[in-house]
Amino acid sequence: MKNAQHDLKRLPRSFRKVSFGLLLLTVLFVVLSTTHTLSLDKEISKQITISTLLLSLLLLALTKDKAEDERLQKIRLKAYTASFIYGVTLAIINPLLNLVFDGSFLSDMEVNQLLITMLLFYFIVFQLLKARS
Amino acid sequence: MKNTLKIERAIKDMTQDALAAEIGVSRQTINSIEKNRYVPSTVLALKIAKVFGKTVNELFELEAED
Repeated sequence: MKNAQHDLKRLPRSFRKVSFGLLLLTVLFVVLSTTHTLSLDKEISKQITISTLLLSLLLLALTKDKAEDERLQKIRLKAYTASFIYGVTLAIINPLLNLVFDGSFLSDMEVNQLLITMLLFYFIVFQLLKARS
Repeated sequence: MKNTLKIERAIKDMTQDALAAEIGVSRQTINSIEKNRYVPSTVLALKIAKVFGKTVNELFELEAED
């Protein structure tokens, strides 16, 4: 039977190694930057760290699981949804949290920070749902 | 929705692993279906029914709350 509802396209399992390699490089870069072995501008270092971290987390999120099937795809969709709701909620309540703790209503949360926390939240929810189902 | 998957598997003396391999899913998925924690798609239900030589209706049954 030709599947009318196309499955979520995912990256091959080998990308998991690429992702962890990139994550390791990011950690190495942070260590080298903080110990001043690399003489890069602080803002540039921060941007490189965030970009590589985001890329490695995204690759990991898009990579196939060992036993990828329809049940896992359903779990993934639930985790994506939860992560999206978490991101929007965080963006809404962040100014309020700032007001309570810093006395300023303006949010200083960067898009990168939000995306990293959303991806981390996705991994947590995905693993929890996978373990429970 | 309840199902008789475990019984049918026992009749056929088939492990969860063997059934999973035959229909191309993970063993955990078969386990989840048997424990009523996951409702399979129509395609997967048809594949399972084909393995046991039964119809989907013979394997899966709606419950009052469905």
